[in-house]
Order: sequence, then C-alpha cells, then structure tokens
Amino acid sequence: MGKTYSTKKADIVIRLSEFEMPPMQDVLIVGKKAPIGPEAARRMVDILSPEQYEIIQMDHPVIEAIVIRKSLMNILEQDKLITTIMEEGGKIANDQMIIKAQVNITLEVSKSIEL
Amino acid sequence: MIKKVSEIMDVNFLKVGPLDCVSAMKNIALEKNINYFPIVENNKTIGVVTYKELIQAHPNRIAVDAMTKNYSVITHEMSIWEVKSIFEDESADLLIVEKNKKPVGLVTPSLLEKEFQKHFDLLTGLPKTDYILYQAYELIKRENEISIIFIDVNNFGIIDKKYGHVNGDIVLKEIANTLNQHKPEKTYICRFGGDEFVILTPFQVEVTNKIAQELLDIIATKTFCNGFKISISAGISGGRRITGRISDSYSTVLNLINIASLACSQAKMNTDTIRIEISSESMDIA
Repeated sequence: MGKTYSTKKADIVIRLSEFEMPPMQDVLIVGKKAPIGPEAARRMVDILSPEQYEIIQMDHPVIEAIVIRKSLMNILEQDKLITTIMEEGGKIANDQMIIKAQVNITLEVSKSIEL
Repeated sequence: MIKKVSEIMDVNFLKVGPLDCVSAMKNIALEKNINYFPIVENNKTIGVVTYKELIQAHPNRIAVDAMTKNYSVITHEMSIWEVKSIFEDESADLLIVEKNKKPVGLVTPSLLEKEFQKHFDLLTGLPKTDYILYQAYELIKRENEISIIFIDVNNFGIIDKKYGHVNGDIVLKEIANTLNQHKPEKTYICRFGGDEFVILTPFQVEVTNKIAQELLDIIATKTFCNGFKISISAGISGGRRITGRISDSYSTVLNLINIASLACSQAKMNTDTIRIEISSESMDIA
C-alpha cells in the first residue's frame, strides 16, 4: 500500500474600494414585506449622515415607503419627484424588495437679456 | 360604581424598544403567550406591535417598522363608557392605557365588547344603571342640568301571575322598546331592575315633567301583546339646579334616583294610573 497525501488550501481574494457615504445613495424604495423597514433605513443613515433623509409613506399595494435625500426636494417639488420615482420604481418593485436608486437632477436655465 | 378601564384592560403585554427585533418578539409571544408589545422610546409610547403585526412583518425588521400606528393613548382612570365613545369616534384598532405616562394595559374593541355584554340587559337590550351614572357624570361635568324620571309598571306582578313569566317578559320588552323609541333626543334610558326604568334628562323639571307625561300617555294608549293594556307610574327628581358646583356627582345621581323612586312609589299609591310626583328635595350643591 502506498502512502496517501491530502492537502488543504484557501485562496483569499480581497477587493478594496472606498466606502460610499452614505451607503444608500439618494433613494430607497421599501417594499411592504422587505426585511428592512423604512424607519430602520432612516435610522441607519441618520447615524452616518444625520438629518439628510426623510421617510415618505406611500399608499401603494406593494411599496410601504420611500426614504429620500432631503436635498433633492429642494430642487424639485416633492410630489413631482415622488411621482417620477414611482413611475419607474413601482414597475419593478415587489413587496419583498428594497430598491436603491440614484437620482441626478440637472437644471438647465437659459436666459436672454437685453443689451 | 362606574367601571374604570383599569378594571378590564389586558395586562398581558411586554414593553420593547424601537430597535428590538421582530423575530425575538415573535419567540417571546409564542413562549410567554404575550399578544401586545408597546414600543417605548425616551419614556414615551410611540407605537404598538400586536400579534397580527408579528405574523405579517419580516422577522428581520425592527419593532418600529412593524408597529401599528392606528392606536390611541388613554389614562387608566377613564370609564369604560368613555372608552366606548373613543372607539366609536376614532378608528383606533386598540388603546394603550397609561398611568403616570407609562403603559399599564391595552384595550381592544373585542375586549370592550365582551365587557359591555355585562352592562346591557339581555331581555330588553337597554343599558344597565351604570350607563345612566356615567351620562349624568358627563352632564354634571359640562355643568348641564340633570333630572331623573323613575318609571315603574303598575301591577306588573299580576301579568306574571295570571299570564305567565314568558308573557311578562314580552310585555317588558315592548315597554322598553316603546320608552326607548319615544324618549326625546339628549335623554338616556336604562333598565334599573325588574319592571323599573330610569330616564336621565338634561332639562329642568318642567320640561322633564312634560316628557314623563307624554311617555305615560303613550304607554297608556298602546295595546301590548295579547291585547294587554298597561299603565306606568313615574317619579321625577332633580332639574332644579340654578348655579353651583356639585361636589360628588356619583352620590348626587344615586340620591336623585332614590328620590325619584320614592316619588314613583307615592304615585303608585295614588288611585290614578298616570300621576307624577315631583320631589321637593333639592340637589346637593356645594
């Protein structure tokens, strides 16, 4: 009988990247049965970025609330912004999901003045 | 005595913090048979998780994300009649009972309904005496007038003896319905006991007298089951308050009921079937 050899080894892969601040970007769409509720999400980011996010409760069959960066609503009216987010987010969300959304708003202003 | 909410509330609850986990609460609910978890933050109740929310919510959620917001907070000294009107006026699913701003119990509509079965007379469907005590207390609190009409059916024992208790019960039910249907708005009726009824009014004695007279006339002209003709006697008390603060509303109302019952007995002794004795005694005004 010959000798048997066995070996064990582990490969370690490390990916390093910069921590996103805050980790939830601009908007979270929270499903009614999602594992993290809107208040938990708000409290989480409040510790990292105090008073920057707001919860907006939704009257929707599957979406419980939207947690949104307050500064976005300085640029665009809340109703318009939420309607726009819900138009797209509402199509793909289900009651178990939490959807993270990045929202970039660009204002274009063009003025003519008399010389 | 008017029953307080603290006597009927469910004390089987456990206070939790807003960040407590639903799965842990679910385990406690199953192990210790606890149905309610009021959420307290900074010494203030901010919501409550019931067994229903525990079933619906994801187990990973924190308490504050599983709680119902459809609740109201009441004090432990509130009467059960006040609690009933809160459930009727507000759409709350449950009430948290607090003492010194700390939760001490909970009340649900089903718990209250179970309790109220004891406060309504099964035969006539009318409330019992504590209903009148509560309504009188409310009138006195708002500095309204109060007066009492004590009603007794004449010779009711004869109906029971001659035609049997089943027919007697039918007649009593019909009398209760008639009085209840014809009593004016803002007045309250209860079955005091046996063949006796009490009506509370927020009016002065002259108006109350007129109401009593009308009710006696209605009963006297009505034909009851099996063609029975019935007459009733009434005694009136109260309705003479002009100014002043009543020091003890509970004993004042009991005293008024007693005076009215004695006045009613005087009326019964008279040969007239429709007669109202108005007590000359005044209310205890401090």
